Amino acid sequence: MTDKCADLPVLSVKHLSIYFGGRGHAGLQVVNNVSFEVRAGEIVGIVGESGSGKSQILLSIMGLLPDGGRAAGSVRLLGREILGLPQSDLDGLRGAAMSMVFQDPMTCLTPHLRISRQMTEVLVRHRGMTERAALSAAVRMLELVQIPDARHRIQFYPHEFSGGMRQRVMVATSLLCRPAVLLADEPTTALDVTIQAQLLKLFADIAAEFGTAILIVTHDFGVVSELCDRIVVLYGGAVMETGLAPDIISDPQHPYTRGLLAAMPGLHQTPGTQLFTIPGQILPGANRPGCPFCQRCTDKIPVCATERPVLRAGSGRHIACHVAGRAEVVA
Amino acid sequence: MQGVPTLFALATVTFFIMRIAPGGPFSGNRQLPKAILENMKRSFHLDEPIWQQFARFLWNALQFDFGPSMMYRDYSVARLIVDGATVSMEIGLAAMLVATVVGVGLGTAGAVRRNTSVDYACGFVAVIGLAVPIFVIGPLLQLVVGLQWKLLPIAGWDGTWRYKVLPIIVLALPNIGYIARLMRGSMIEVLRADYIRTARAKGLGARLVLWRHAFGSAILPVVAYLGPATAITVTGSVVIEQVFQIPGIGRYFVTGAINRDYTLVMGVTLFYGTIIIVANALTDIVQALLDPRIRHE
Repeated sequence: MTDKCADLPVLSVKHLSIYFGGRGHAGLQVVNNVSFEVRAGEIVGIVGESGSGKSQILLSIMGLLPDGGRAAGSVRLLGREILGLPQSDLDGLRGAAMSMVFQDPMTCLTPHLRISRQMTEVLVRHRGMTERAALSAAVRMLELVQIPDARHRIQFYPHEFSGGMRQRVMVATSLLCRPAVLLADEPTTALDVTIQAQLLKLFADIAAEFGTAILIVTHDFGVVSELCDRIVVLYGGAVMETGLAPDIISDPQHPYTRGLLAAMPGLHQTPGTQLFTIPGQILPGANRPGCPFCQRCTDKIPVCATERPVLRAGSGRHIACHVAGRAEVVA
Repeated sequence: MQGVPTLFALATVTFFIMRIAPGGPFSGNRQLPKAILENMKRSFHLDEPIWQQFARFLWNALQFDFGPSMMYRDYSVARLIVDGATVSMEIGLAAMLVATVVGVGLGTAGAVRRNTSVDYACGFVAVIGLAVPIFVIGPLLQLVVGLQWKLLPIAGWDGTWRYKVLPIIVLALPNIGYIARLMRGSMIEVLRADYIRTARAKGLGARLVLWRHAFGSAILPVVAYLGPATAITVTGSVVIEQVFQIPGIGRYFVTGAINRDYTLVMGVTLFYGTIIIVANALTDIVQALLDPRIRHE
């Protein structure tokens, strides 16, 4: 792969908006004008709390929005527009060029089918492989995600695996066709901490070894700081701050990002001290005037309530805030 | 094998309830001379102490001998049951097969095309099958198909298929209704499951997602219903047998009890019990085959 090729984004999302219910722009808007790119071998994290619309972004890329959901804007996979493609066309891409790992490994595997079937069917469908060839490829993939005794265990049913093992199976299944993009929706949230760490390392290895572009959605800044190259901080369906992970973690500028990082319990915290919380709660809908974070923001100025801040460049990142970064300009 | 104590309990309770009930097998007859009555009672061992009668019944039942019927002269209970059950089972099994195929088909179609005209049409058929009693549907079909169109015989039995079609349809209809509703509800729930989203995310295509990933789970409630429902259907329906004049076993349940035909009642009760136990065992086996989590327990 030439350098020029590597620079082209594998996944490019532009001006993505998602609505539920209603016609046209009438329904409830849950995602507002979100844009980002993921390049080969890069891991991008979308961070935000529950209700920020982050999972819906992944589902809209896959064409799997639940009934009543509609997406507008542009999603390009390897340069090809895929938003609004008919399901039959998307089926040619899903599981092949792009694949997805879901949050809860306990409910995301079909209970009455053996793991072998749930893995080989992907290769049979997309690669036209024989059952036999697909099975040995599936076993190799399970070995790659470090499932011991894979040859034997591939004949297990999902309930015979632990949560961490099931999530490895999910990851292995999603990698079978060597997708250009791997989407992961809170892949470690349902797992305990030691398993989380192993799985995060697995994602890092995948990106490095296969050059897979990984888009991971999480509410956990710990996951992001360990894993991601770049971060998109999402609030109320809109991008608040985006940039390189080390920059944002070491020097968060948007009041919401600062709040999120401050709310992370640290190991070196004095026992007994109160944990920081961002006051208030997230409001549904992403199409109110003003900044979506306005009600909960400690730094707000009058304009925040009336005018939606646009994403602008500033100190190695993009930020959508009327307050943050302005002082520097004045000073 | 767990069925044996169940059958024993069933036989014991039925035996004594039958004896507690007022009247006896010969009380309906015109007044018989005392000597003749005594003779008849002796021939059926009704003069013995009740414990002895019970022990005799158990001993004979173990050898599948339920004695002669007290009302249908010259017939053994075993003969009556075998003859009737052959007819009832044939019609009942055929009806359940039709009901399962049609019901599962309608239910699946309704779930996949939820809230469309297909769904409403399936729902309409299901409600008709459930709500209209078989003693209305039966004569209605006889009237239209038999009398007006002259396609099939109205009633009767000679063992050929022409006499079986209408009773099978009528027996199947309520089951079609119930199975269709069961299947629709279960399929809608399964199609919302996380693992269906996973299957779609693998790009398998709608058909594979439905039949491989959804069907196996969605069918489970139907299987659970099929066991008891089949047991009831194959043991005959008095109404169907009356309406279509079929020599099945269903009527013996009623006539046997009314006539205090002790031997016949014991025979059909044990037959019914056995069928239910076998049907439930088959249900358990099929469920275990379909659901690996049950197999594990």
